[in-house]
Amino acid sequence: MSIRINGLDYDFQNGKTILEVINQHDMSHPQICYLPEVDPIETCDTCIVEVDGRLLRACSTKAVSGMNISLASLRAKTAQTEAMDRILENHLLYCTVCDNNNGNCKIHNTVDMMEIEHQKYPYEPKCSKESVDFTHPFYRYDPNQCIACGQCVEVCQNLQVNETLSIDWEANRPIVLWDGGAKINDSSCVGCGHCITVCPCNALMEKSMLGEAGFMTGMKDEILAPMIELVKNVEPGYSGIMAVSDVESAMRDTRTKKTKTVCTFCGVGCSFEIWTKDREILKIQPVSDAPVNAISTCVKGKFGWDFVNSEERITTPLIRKGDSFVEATWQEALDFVASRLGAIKKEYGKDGVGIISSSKITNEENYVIQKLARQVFETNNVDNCSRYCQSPATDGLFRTVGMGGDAGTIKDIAEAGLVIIVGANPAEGHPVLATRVKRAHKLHGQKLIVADLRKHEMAERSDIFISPKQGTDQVWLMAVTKYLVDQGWHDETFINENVNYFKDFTAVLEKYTLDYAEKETGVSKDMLIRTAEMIRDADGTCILWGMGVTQNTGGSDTSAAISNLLLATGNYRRPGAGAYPLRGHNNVQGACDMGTLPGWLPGYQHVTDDVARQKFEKAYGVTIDDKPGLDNIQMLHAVDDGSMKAMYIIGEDMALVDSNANYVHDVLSKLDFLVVQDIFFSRTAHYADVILPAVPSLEKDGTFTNTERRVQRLYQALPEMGQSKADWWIVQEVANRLGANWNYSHPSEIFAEMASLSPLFGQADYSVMEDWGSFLWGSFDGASTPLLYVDGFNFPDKKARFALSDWVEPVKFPEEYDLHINNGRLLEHFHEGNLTNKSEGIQEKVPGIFVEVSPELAKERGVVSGSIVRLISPYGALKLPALVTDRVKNNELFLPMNSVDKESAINFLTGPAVDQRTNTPAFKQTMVRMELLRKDGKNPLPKSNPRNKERHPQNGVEVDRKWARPGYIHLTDQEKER
Amino acid sequence: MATPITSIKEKERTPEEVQKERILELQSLIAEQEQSLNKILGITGELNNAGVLDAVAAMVKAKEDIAGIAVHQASREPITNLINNVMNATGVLTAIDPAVTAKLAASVQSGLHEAELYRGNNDKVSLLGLMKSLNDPDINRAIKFGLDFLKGMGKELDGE
Repeated sequence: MSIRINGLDYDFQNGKTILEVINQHDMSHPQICYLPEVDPIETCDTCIVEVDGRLLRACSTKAVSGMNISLASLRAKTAQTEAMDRILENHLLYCTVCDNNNGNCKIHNTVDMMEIEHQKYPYEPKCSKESVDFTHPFYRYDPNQCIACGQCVEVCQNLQVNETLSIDWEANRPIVLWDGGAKINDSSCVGCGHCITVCPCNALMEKSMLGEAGFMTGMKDEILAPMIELVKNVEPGYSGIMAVSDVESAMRDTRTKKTKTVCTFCGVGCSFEIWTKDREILKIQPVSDAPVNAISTCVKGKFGWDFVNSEERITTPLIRKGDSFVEATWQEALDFVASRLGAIKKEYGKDGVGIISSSKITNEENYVIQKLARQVFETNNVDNCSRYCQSPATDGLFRTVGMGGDAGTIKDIAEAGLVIIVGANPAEGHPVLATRVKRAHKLHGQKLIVADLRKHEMAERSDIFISPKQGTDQVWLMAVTKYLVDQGWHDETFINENVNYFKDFTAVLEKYTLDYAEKETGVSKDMLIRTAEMIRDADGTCILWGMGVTQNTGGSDTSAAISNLLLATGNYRRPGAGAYPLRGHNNVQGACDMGTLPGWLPGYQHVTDDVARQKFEKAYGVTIDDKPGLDNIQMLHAVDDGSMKAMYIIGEDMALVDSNANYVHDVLSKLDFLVVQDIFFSRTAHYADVILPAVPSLEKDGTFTNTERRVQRLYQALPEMGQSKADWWIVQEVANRLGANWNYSHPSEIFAEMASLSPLFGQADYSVMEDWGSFLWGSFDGASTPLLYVDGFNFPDKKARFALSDWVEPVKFPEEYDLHINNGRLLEHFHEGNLTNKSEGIQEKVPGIFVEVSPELAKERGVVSGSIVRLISPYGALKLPALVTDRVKNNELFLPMNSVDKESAINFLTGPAVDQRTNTPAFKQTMVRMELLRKDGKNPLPKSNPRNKERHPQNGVEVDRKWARPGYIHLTDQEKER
Repeated sequence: MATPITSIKEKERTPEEVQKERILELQSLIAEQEQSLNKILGITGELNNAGVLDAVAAMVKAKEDIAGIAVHQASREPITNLINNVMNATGVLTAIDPAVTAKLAASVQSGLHEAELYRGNNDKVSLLGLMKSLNDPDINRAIKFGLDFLKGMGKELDGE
């Protein structure tokens, strides 16, 4: 199939628009409002072409074989120029003194490309200078520069789907409105940054760019205004203005450093450019090429990077002396660490030392840390923070389908006919991933089922929202599975061909009748039937789950039950389906892949597998224990009983994030020697003997692996601050002082060594992942594998296995603890908040912590928003303000986890119960009683927080309303015929 | 037994120590960049002798004021006219085919050369001589170029 463009024939794929064909063949053609991530916006008219004599928009006209298209016929050119004239009426070209003149300004580049010299309609400002909205902490909107192309509206409504922005097409001069006319900071805007990213000019700008990006943009208004006036009076042809501004832009390019990096705020794995000027962060610039997120970001990824330049960073090695830490040189600190750890290993043997790695640091760093454990300390006592969150999900998948990773990619989630979210709130915890679900649900008919204690945003948007009693998810999952099988709605062919133990499985299901489920979970039979029907009717079901499932005594079994349900309904081995545990940190997946686990060598080769272990023994020149080492929880027990004497903790604030923090504090105090490697003076570091200053992601090279199993490279954007050093460098120095004789000069060499020992990564190397490239592990021939199990499940007979487990009842508490306390993330803060609380803007929106109390409970106990309450569990107590909200119900409380304070951090309440199979703490199974300490107080959530506002959903930019404006003259031919 | 501690004692350096550290850092920088530093010092010496550094220092201090004056001056109508004229003139120049300009320049040069050659003799040009000269192909070409030029210019003037 081909179309003729400007007299030449071009092949095209069916379904592509004319503009897509044009772009695919790198022809230059104006397209101000074109965004590949969304449906055609059709507001700008600059892409009009002449198709077989008719003027049509290239962006919204599908290519049809045999079409004869002229991009630059007289009629097409005239229409394009008129369209551009209408745009320039709204925008003043003061490019040289504009902060957006960075080579990527769409308006600038289009004026340049179209060789426009003058404009037909003179520029007229739309409002006074005072109407420029500076209220939001992170960005500003200047209506006087806005061309009302509506790209910001389209992405807000239909890509991010926060539904805040609109354009008042009926106004005399249409501009962008927040919540129909509120100040930005007083609107439902969550600060995701999509609108700023897609703005084709400087109407929406990051505040961090203003006065900083250009050489002449920092001038005071008294000089800037007359300068703009001067340019106007001189009235040169625009090519003159363009030439000067191009020179200035080229100068900027030498000063502004643009570095590709991968976000560290959750497991989604967004990648983008970070623009820096010396150490100053100018902005985050997302690009369409980013494989996971394209142009999408959340408020943290777009704006939350201030911690990198925080004065609270540790930048010198510190050694405990008396009652303080004193600064030391690297030489002193490393010698001390090596001699003490070496001595303890010698005296107490291989179980004398335990190592905790981090899911925030790179794959390469995790690899050398497990190597340090196994080669230098000859122990398998190495674990990472996935123990606190993801081990049960991994376990459930290993048992059923054989690989501990998401079945497919974010694209499969977007394509699925049905998404079920269990015990997770991706709208806050995995915001960019949630946008894909919200978009598919709003525009593409995707169905959504949410099972959660809380009525969060995804629950509000869902088709079915069920709220089972805490800790009973496995019951309803099994009841729905049983019902599907009983009705004959399971996929018998799939099961016969692909899954073992179906008979045994049906026997296990026997007791999970709808009645039983209704009794145990509190979810009505009707809801369960509707859930089953929705699964039956869906073309592909993806199940997403998080800590609401895993941090329970039955977390692993519940994860397996999810996988069972998917197996029974044939929802594996096909696109748009499968199991998706949502990894919480940027490199939880990678830390596990790299073998910082007590039982696993890199690339999921178990220590009990003789062949695999011997390969590593040969490479490392040591004997490796064929039994798994101690996990996080067991290490603490070992310290407690005196068998483990020293720990080396890297980037993990155990004293805060482990359950039952009071116990952890006691245990850490018992260590003979503790090394903490971190970027901040964490609570855990308070117990250290030596603190080694590491660097955040922006200051090093390496790779991260996201929740999709996608490995992506990050490049060093900033020099190391002070004396701080990359973790891999520090670990190598420690290892070499203990005789390891490593010689890595760059992380790429570490990755190559890892890949040479791990078949899963056989075909991965740094060149494959250069720039926006990525690699998804999933095949033992080492090929990149976006969709798992296409060639069968990861068992010798290629068949999956139904896991045969009953559900585990949650921990019982004495009756006096009458309230359940749940915990989780807030959108604005990452995890415990020690990174995001360094951002003034984020602190302005969410300054502190609070416990969410239901309206029913608040009424009963006389609590109002701002009341100070004490929460008491058997393991500790907190004192903090309350927030009354119907996101929680009845006797259920919710405590966000963004606190580093003993008075308000959740883990001073949580207890010692753990998941039966993986030892993951059952953080979610905590009961408290509540005392009201003071009734009246300040509402802990500021008025300006978006949670206090109503969204304003509409059908995208609604260009029809623009076309209906009185006096609007169509530039295309199709309109007249309609 | 490690009790938690929350204080970090930064190495208290005396002002002398701080100074010493900085001098050491600078020393290593100087050693690395010795050649370029020598050159820069030479240049700054020259500039200082010429009084340029004083002027630059003053201008940097008053940069905001000066920018203000410059913009103010440039914004006056005569100056904007001037700028517009220069820009228009530039536009004219850019519109002419460089090949033509090159040829014209060469002709003028050749003309000057010829004129210089005969400047010494004091021959008077008679009317008849002038008419005769028109038959000289070189002179005829030049006159024709002039006439064609006038015709083109007249056309454009009429267009106004």
